[in-house]
Amino acid sequence: MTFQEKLKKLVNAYGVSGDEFRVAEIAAEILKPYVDKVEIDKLGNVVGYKSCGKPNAKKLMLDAHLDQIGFLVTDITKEGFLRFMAMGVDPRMLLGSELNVIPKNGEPIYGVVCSTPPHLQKPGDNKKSVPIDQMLLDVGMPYEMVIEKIEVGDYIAFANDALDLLGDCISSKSMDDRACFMTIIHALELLGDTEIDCDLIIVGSTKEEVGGHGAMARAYIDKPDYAIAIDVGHAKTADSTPMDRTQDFGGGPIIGFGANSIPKFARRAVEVARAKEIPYQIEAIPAASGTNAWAIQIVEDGVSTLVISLPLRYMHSPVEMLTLSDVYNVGKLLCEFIKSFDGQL
Amino acid sequence: MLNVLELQKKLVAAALPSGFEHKVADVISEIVKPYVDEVYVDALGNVIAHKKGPGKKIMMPAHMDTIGFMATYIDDKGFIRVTNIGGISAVNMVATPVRFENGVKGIMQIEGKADLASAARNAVAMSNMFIDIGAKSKEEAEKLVDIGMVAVFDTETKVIFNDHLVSPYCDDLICCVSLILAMEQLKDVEPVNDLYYVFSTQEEVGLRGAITSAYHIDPDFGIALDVCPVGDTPAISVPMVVALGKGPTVKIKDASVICHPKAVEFLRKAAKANDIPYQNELLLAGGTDTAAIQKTRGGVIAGCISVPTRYIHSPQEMVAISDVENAAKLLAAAVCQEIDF
Repeated sequence: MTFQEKLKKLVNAYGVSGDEFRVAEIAAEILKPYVDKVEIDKLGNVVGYKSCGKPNAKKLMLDAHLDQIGFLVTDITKEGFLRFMAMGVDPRMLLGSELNVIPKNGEPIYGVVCSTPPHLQKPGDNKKSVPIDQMLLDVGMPYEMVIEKIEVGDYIAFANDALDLLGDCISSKSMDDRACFMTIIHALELLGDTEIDCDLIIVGSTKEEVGGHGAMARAYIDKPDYAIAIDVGHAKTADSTPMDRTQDFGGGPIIGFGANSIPKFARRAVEVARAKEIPYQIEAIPAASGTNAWAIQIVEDGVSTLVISLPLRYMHSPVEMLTLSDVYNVGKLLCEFIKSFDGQL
Repeated sequence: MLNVLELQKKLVAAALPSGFEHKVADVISEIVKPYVDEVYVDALGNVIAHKKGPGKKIMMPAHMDTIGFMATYIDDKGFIRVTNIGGISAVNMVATPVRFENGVKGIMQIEGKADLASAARNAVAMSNMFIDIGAKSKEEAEKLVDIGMVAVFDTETKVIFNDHLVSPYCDDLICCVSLILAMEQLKDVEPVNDLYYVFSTQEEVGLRGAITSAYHIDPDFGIALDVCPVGDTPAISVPMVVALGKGPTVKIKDASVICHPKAVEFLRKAAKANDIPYQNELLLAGGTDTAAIQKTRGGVIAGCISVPTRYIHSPQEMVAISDVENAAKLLAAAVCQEIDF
């Protein structure tokens, strides 16, 4: 498989927070060739170890989360429609959306979010957004058939597969954060058999979208000295204004500065980017970064953390868009950082 | 004896907002070295000063991070937009002198279109504010200030009438001062307990330094030092009995913690036995490192001594020097008691 094929296979898989076991299998397969060993733990976290073979080497964790935003079935109506709640999704975008219900057993079941045709709307309806508790998912089956296949509590995800756009842009339902897992894969590809001076712990973590529990558990188990959380950052879109703290699409890795991204660590990343002429951008993150670094940093007696972000448009939508050049540049920065890192900042 | 004003000035000159405590950590490490057996800095930047002793392990944190600002955007004319680090009421920031971490000075101002007279207090937001460093263009400003650079209040530290001290960052540098004074008092005292003085980080963004240092130290007992608001200024919205100059407080509860009755009693006993004035504190809003200690590992009994402070989180906070000194005395007296819980 090419790099792009791997990326698409990973983002097309289903794995809403709490139900990452399918995507974890795929991620583990992709990671396997680049590390000494790979495991999937009981939370569904994928973890790979690459040792430098040196005594007393420091441990550097690279984390990207595998879970995606989605929905849960909350009720099945007598007519066979599903009610649902959202996790991380703005419901205003949902009318007419294509969703897949992921039953505990069996294949995904396709459905569409019901919408009222313009002809049947009351005056003014088209100016209002519909609250999610008034939305229904139509899976095209009568009640009896639905309750055989679907239960309350089943997960639902956006149904669409990744889409190639002009240039090197790709959109998908779960670039956040699986594209970042692929930045780590790219870093490992570039690294190859190069001699390094720290032990690497690669984590494809679970449950980030509901609080970072997967990464927190891995930090307890693996006890890294340093951790880099790679997550997506908001890239500029057509309606961006200069002051809204978005970053350039195609502008390269975003290096975070703030309490969650300790100054020495962040400055080192900037030095590496400059020395290796990798484009980079700086984001001011005053406190909570909204990434796994926030959870990892305060595990046990503390971990030195850094946040690196991949520019992404339309975050938390079914069409999250990135440019591959950013994916490669984040991977390159990670690789060069690892090569230059002897365990001291 | 160490001087409160001089110490506070030293700390204020070096302190930066949460996450950027390395400078003040160096200053504090240097000051406290003579008073303990070892001083070290951990992964989150906490300064941990350990005076070995035979009894129970006591952790005593005072946080050395401050609230402040971080540059997010520089406009074409060289005005710098910032976001806040920690809890900041924008309306208190109008016309505040500020200083970036590299020493560049400026003033914080508000957009002309914002109508302070008619706007509701909470309608004034950090997004309407900017810092003017005197630059004539974006290019000029960018030579001095980078995105991600942090800034602090650049107000004066001074003593006014009745030995009241006015300074930025009494929260919580004045408690770092109290902690250092207590260390000095205990320097030549044979320790009853195993003492861990902690100058903690990232308190203003979620007690994060105390969370990790408490895990590391695994204490038997904790006494945090922080500031608490007072009820002795005009027309306050929430009545409170605590007043400036009537002694440090023994915390009973704040929004993050209900102190264990044994911790409260332990501190009161020390105050009474040593004739140190104290006040009872019930704080409705705000949290302290006390909570981080209480919830570490299997749970730890923790209390807190507070220095009554006016105008908390404003550029000019006010304390009574006698309260700062008495907080130190109370802490020093308390940790010389045997702990039977």
